[in-house]
Amino acid sequence: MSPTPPTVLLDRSFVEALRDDAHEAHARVVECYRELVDDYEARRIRLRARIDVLGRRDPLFAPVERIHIAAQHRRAASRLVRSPIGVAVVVATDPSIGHAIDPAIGESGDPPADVPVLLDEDTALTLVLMRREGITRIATLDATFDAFELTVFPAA
Amino acid sequence: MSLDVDPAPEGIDATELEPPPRTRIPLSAVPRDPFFWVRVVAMICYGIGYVYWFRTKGLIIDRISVALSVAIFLSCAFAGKPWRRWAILLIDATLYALMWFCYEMTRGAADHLGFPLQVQALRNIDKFLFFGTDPNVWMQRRFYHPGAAGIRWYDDVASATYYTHFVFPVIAMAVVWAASRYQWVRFMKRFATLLGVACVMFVVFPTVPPWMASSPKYHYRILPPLARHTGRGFTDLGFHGFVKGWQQALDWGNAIAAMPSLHAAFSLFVPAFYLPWIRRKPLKALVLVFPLIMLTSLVYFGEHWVIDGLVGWALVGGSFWFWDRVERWQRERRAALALHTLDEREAMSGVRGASVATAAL
Repeated sequence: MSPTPPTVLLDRSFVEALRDDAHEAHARVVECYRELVDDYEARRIRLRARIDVLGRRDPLFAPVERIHIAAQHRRAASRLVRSPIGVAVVVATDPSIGHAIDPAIGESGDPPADVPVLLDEDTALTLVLMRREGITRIATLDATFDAFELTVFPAA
Repeated sequence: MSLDVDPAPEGIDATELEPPPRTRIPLSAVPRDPFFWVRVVAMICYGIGYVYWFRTKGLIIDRISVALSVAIFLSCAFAGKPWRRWAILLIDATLYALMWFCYEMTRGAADHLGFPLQVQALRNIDKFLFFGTDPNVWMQRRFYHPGAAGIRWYDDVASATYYTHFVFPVIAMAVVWAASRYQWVRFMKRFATLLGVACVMFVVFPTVPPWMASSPKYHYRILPPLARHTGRGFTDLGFHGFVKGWQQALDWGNAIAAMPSLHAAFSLFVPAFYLPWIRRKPLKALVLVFPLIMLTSLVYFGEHWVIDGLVGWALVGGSFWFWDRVERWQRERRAALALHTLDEREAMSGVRGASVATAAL
């Protein structure tokens, strides 16, 4: 008996690296996944992933719960890509632009016309689902998530 | 998972090696579900309406009205959520209604299925537990004062505690339903198990409650007459409508479905489920006093034997224990399957790598 354990979301990059033994980060991801599964078994975490990332049933992901994606999530992701926060992510993750940003840009700033919006729809969809499901931990190799106040696995 | 940091070399201030703090975007910068506030406002309005109805017209108590009120609450709680969530909600609600339907049917038929009525055995167990004293009789002789002038503060407390049975489990269930399906499933597995076992016991051990065993209207008369004064404390508190509604609802209840006491069971079930969310130990202890007050009230009112309540508590403990074991077993099985598959694939990729290397040589 205990409250809901915190969720760790398995991102597409993490799942692909886990499946592909030729991936350069495969060994690191395997090690991380073993630790996550141990934590799951001890009921310290829940493991979840987008249903389109997991694909068909795979015993490798037996402990992972599927998150279904609705049309409203996709619409929200499209809006997010075009919103100021998309620009904020570019500024935060692109060293050529600079590392310091004003968090308020996500709330009220307008995107400067000359800054490309690099937050793709897939990443935006993950962010939308994380926001709606209250998930703050993610297993990913995608550096975009470093720009957010999230606990990222595997640790850098 | 640990976030180990390498120690700084000797003689160097570790803070000098740290990169400048980097501003990270809070996840709250991602817009929330636009229907979030619609749901919040709708649920607040529902809560106000529920309390108003409770004060003016009495509590919603008959099963159809309770089902409708829960349906309205869930409609508020799920407004704007994806259609798939609604479909799951519909399936859950159907199973939920089916569970209560089976419960009502079984409980109602409990005394027509041929199992012998339990009268003296329960009294004997209670007398054994209390060193030869009938706890129902002792409590009423000691604390009960007939008439409106005889109502004491503890009558109000006992009566209010008794009637929480019709409110708290439903509210607890609705809250967990709206908040988290993960927790809802955990709640319902335990709750349905409790109800299921209770129904079997209603059939196998149809039990005459103390008020009936003492009543001159029935032929048992194994106890001195007991007052069945459940409602007077609540009437004293001003809840006339509710008491009237409850007495009407009794018409289709089954009086001999007394073993186990679901009043006692639910009064432990709800606090036991929510206990892990309560951080402070004194508050935890206070919450666990509630089932004790409930059982004391049931005995005082002559509604149940003490053993009915103890068996109800035991069923709650058994239900939690059983599902905790099952869920742990499921976690272990899934984890083992995942790790086994991972090991197999790693071994295969190792063999494949070795084959490639051999072929290259």
